Amino acid sequence: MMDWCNELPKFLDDLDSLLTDNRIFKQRTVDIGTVSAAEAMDWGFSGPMLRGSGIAWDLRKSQPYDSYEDFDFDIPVGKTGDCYARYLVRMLEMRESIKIMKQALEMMPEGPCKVNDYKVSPPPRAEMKSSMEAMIHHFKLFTEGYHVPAGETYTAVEAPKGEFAVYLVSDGSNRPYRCRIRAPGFPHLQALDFMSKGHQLADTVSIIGSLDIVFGEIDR
Amino acid sequence: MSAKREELDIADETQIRPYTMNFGPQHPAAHGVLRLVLEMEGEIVERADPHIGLLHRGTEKLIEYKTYMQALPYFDRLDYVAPMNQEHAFALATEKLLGITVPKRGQYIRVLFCELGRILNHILNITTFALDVGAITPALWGFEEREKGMEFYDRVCARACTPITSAPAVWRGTCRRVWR
Repeated sequence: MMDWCNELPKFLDDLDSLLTDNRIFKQRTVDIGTVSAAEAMDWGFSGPMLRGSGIAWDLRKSQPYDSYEDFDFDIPVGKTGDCYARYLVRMLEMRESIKIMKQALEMMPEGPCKVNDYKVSPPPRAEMKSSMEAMIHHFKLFTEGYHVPAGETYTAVEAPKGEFAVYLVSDGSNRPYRCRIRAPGFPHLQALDFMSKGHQLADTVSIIGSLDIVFGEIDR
Repeated sequence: MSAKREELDIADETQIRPYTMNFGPQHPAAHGVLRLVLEMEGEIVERADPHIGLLHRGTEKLIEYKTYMQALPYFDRLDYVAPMNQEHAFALATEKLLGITVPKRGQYIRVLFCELGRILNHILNITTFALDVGAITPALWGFEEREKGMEFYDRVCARACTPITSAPAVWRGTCRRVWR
């Protein structure tokens, strides 16, 4: 994995040399689908779309989850808010991600990687062969599942496309009472109308490309 | 390419009827099943109306009828380009409700694979974006790299697209042979 991390910047350099200064690519992206910082905020943008418009907002920095605070990385921010800025932000973000991956590999702590509570995590296979209790735990876990205490939570992570969040309401049973998924692509797609107004048809294609939409999450 | 309407030379007598055009859902530049109803004034887009729902499966409701562990694979299929990041959100939400935290090593592994997912997602996005505006080579190179990155997914869970690894409380993959 380290080898891959070391090799990848070379590919990114190649990609840079192909696209970043490419005249045709710039003609198709610079000043296309420009979004101001205020508009980006109003339309609920997140992720590279928001950072492309010049707002340094990243959930990994603003509310670190799962020890993101241990890692040293920067948030690339675009200036112009057009398709080209979003492209540049994504390119730089990949280099930052490589930095994080390398740090994670170097600082990887020893120890268990799962919770040592058989009510929520399956016991090791070997133990199940000898321990009746472990066997029962395993069976209960994969048939009935675990009961989650009543409560509700809105948990957001910085997915590649933006703020991906899950709103879960639990009523104390083994199934979520309500699950609502906040997909980053949805607000981005809403903004397509005002972004493409007054542009040519071919520019709409560039705008869709820079929105980074995947339909699995938008349609849910 | 960014000619605004006033820059185009349209004579006063020339009457152009706003033209309604369907873009997608089968258009290769629509990135999946986007159906866009465009109102065109000549070559200029007056209004873009995205029609969604062609891939609607009722994921949220399906999850409400599954146990927490069974609900996990649905998150892989939301944003199928970076599945691990979606699982991560669900795992964190469930852990928050359960009031547990994963040991440090588990957290680091999750960070590692989230960032891997981010790279793979951005490679896909940038290269297909370049493909849309006319550059084919980045896509050919990018998918080669993406394939290599997905090998790691494959190693930890024997599948490349729907890993189901960041389960609540657990890292379900095997990582022994991945790092070195």
